Amino acid sequence: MNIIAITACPTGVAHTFMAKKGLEDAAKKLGHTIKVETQGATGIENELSEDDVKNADILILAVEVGISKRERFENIKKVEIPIATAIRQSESLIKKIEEKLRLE
Amino acid sequence: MKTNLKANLDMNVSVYTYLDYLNESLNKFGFFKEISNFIAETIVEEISPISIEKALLAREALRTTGFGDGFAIPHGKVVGINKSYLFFIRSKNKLEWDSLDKQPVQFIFIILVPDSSESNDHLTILSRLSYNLMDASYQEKIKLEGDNKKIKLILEEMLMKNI
Repeated sequence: MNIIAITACPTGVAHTFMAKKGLEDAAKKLGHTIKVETQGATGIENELSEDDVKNADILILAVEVGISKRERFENIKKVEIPIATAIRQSESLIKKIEEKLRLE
Repeated sequence: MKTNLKANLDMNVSVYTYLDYLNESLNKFGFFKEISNFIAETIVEEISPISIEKALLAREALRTTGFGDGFAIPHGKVVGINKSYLFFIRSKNKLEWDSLDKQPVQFIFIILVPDSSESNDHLTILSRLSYNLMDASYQEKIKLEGDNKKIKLILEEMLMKNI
């Protein structure tokens, strides 16, 4: 799968980047490609481009605040999760997504 | 005790490490007072301990900095300093921290940056530390490494890693 994701937390930094790392590690371990945009206190980093969105199978939103530029994602399948899930349970999350996309 | 990363890092931060810090306090608020005094007395003599403690308390009031697995990253902007500091402290006694996983804390990274600057250095330091602390091999090294010099190299590596 091509996964894209956005992470963002209210205080802006630590959880945002822990969630990014959690998702990246789980995706790699399960043999998927992933690109994670962070919307933290330092602004948008590693921004998802139009092509990234077009080529992606799924968008994971691990966000606990409103995100910027949400209009980029109108036409893509998405799943919204609490940021703690991305930090602690990314692997089971991605397995669930695999399952779901297979059934469709 | 000190490493200046200026030459190979995109920010000016001084790193200090204490691998067997014998803390008297057993909770984070007592620890903030204790460590602020320690830092002001032994390292950053130009600032008052109260300004350090205030900065740490202000951030802690927003949400806990105990991110789980025994790690905490208290941080803040401090009035009266003109460069950034990172202190890594491995406390002898476990600290009650109200962490996300409710576990006590023993591995503390304190980030202090100047209040005056518009710089986001503390956020950069925080983002790189928290990102790399998800890595099991870094966690293990931070918990177990007994050599001060090696710990410092590990911290430098974590700070420099491009995310």
